[in-house]
Amino acid sequence: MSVLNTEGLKAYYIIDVLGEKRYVRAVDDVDLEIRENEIYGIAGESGCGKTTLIKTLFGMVEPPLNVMDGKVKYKMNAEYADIFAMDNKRMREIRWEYISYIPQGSMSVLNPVQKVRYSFEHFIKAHRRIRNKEEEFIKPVERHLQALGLPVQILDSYPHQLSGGMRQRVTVALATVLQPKIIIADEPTTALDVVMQRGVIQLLKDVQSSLKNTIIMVTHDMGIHANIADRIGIMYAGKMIEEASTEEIFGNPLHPYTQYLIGSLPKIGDKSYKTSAPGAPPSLINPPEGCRFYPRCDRATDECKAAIPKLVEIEPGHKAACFLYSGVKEDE
Amino acid sequence: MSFIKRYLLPRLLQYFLVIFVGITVVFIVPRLTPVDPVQEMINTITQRGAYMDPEAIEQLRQSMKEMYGLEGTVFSQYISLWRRLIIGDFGPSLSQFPTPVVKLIGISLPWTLGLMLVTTLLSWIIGNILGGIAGYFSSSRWSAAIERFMMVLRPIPYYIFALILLLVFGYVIPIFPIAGGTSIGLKIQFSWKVIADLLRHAILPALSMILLGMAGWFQTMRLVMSNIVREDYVMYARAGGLRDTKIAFNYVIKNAMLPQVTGLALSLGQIFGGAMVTEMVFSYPGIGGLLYTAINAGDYNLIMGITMFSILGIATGALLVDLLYPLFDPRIRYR
Repeated sequence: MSVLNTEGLKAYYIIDVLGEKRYVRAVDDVDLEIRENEIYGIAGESGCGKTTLIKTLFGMVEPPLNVMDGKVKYKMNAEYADIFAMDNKRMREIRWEYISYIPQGSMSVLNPVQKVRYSFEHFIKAHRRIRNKEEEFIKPVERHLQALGLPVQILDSYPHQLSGGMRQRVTVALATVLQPKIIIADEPTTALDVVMQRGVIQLLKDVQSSLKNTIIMVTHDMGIHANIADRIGIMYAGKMIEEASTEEIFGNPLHPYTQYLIGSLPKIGDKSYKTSAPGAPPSLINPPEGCRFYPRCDRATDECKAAIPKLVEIEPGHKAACFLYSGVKEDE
Repeated sequence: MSFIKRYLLPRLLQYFLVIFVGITVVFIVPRLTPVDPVQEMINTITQRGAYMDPEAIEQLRQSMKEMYGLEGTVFSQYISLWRRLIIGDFGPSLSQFPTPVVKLIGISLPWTLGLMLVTTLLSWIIGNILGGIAGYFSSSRWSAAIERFMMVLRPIPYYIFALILLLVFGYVIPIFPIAGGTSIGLKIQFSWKVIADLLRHAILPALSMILLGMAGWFQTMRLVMSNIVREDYVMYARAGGLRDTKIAFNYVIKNAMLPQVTGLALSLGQIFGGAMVTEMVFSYPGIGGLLYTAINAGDYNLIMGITMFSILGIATGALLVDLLYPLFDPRIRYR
C-alpha cells in the first residue's frame, strides 16, 4: 500500500536572466510510490535534484521553485489527497501531524534565542490543544525524549549549548513527537562524524520500527542507505533512473550510472583501482536531449541520444530507465 | 565571584577610563579656540560705552582670571578642575557670571530630557513596529507603500525638514506656535492649562524628531527582518506548521530586536547632549542651545559641565548595554 505517491512531478526553478526566463529542471517527470512501513532511500550526487524533490514532496514550494506539472498525493483516511490542491490552512494542519521533516543543517534550525523546551512547545501547540501543561505537554515530551535515549535536561538548554550531534537528535525528536505517518529526512547525517552518524541512523531505525511509519531518507552516502533503507531510488539529473530493493541495488544494479555508483564503493579486502564515470553531471538548465546520462555512458547507442528512456519494471520490483533493458520511451 | 573579577571590574575600569579621557579632551579643546572668555567679558563691558583706562582694564582682567579659575599654568588648572569635579562643583558660568553652571544645566535639562526621552522612545517603538511588519509581510502592498514613504522621508536633511514643518504648521497654517517652550509670561505650575500650553509648544519639535528618527529605525529594522525571515530556523518553524503570528513574534522579531536594543540604549545615552539643531530651529529651550551659546562665549566651565553630562550619558548607556545584553541574547556570555 502506498502512503505517498507522485505522478509526473515536474518542479523547476524559474530564473529571470535579463528578461529571459530560464528553467532549471531540478525535478523532471518523477513518479514515486512510497509504501507504508518502509524506509525509502533517495540517492544521487550533489545537484541532481534530491533536495528539490523532497521540498516538493513536503509541499514547501516557494519561488523561484515552481511545480510545473504533476501531483503529490498523501494517503489520508484511506483516500489520496493532492497537496497542491489544498489551501494553506489545511497544509499547515497536516504538517508535523501527518508528515514531518528532519532538516539538513541542524546547526541553525533551532531558534538561537529560545530554550529547546519552547521549540517543543510551539511545535506541539501548533497542532494540539494543551489544557493541562504538566500532563499533556511536559510528561509526554520527557517520556518521548527518554524513549529516544536523550537526556531530559536538553529541554532547558539553548541550542548553542548543545553539540552538533545532539542538535541533530533534537530535530529527530521534534520530528517524531507527534508520531506522523511520514517523516522526510534530508541528509540528516552529513554534518556529523561517523560515530554520531551511527547514533542518528540507529535512532531513526528505532523510531521507524516502533511507529511503523514511513521514512523518506535522502543522502548521497550509499553506506547509510545500505544500513537503513528498504528500497532505494537513484536520481540522476532531475530524473529517477532506477528503483529497487536495497539488496537488488547493491547486488544487481542495472542502469550504467548505478553500476558506476556501486562499483565505486570500497569493499573490505578489495584493493582494485576504482573507476569513476567519465565527465561531469549535466547542467539542469540545458540537459542533453535523450537519456541524460548518454554523454558519460560507454554503452550509449544512437537511440539513447534521440529519446528518453522511461522508468519501467525490468524484473519484479526492480525498475530502471535504460534502453539496454527496455525500449519504452517517455512521450515528450 | 569570578563574574565580578573577570568581567565587571575590567568593564568598570574601562568605563571610568572613557570618562577620564573624554573630560581631558573637553578640557583641552576649548583652550585651543581663539575665543578668550576674559577678553569676551571686557568687550561686552566696553561695548556698553563704559570708558576704562588700560590700567583699569588690566586690573579687571587680573581679578576676572582669579574669579574664573583661569590663573596659573594649564596643568594647575587641570588639577584644580579634577579637584572640583570630584565634589560635583563645575564652578560659575563665565558668560553668565556668577550663576553656577549646575544651576544653568538644571534649568535646561528638564526641557531636553522631556523632549528627547519622548521622541527617542516613540520613534524607536513606531519605527520598529512598522519595520517589523513591513519586513515580515514584505510582499504586501501596504509594506511597499510604507517603505516608499520612509525612503522619501529618511534622506531629507534634518534642518530643512524642521524648517519646512515650522513654515507649514507655524506660518502658512498657523496652528502651532513658531518659537519657545511656553507662551511668554506663563508661570510654570501644575494645571491643565500649563500642560496644554507645554504640549502645544512641544509638538512641532517632537514631530520633526519622531518622523525622521522613526524612518531611520524603520529602515534598519526592515533590513534586519528581511534577512531573518530567510534564516533556517524560520523556515523550519514554517515547516512545522506553526501559526504565522507565532513565527513572526517568537522567531523573527525576537531575533531582529537584538541589534535594535543596542541602538536604543546608545541613543538614550545621547539625550544628554541635547538636540542642538532642533532647539535652534524651534527656539526651544534646552541643553543644545545652552551649549551653543557657551561655545560662542568661550564659557569653559559651562562647556565642561554640559559635555560632562553628555559623556556620562553615553558611557553609561554603553555600560548598560554590555551588562544587560545577555538577558536578551543567551549566546552572549560575560567573559
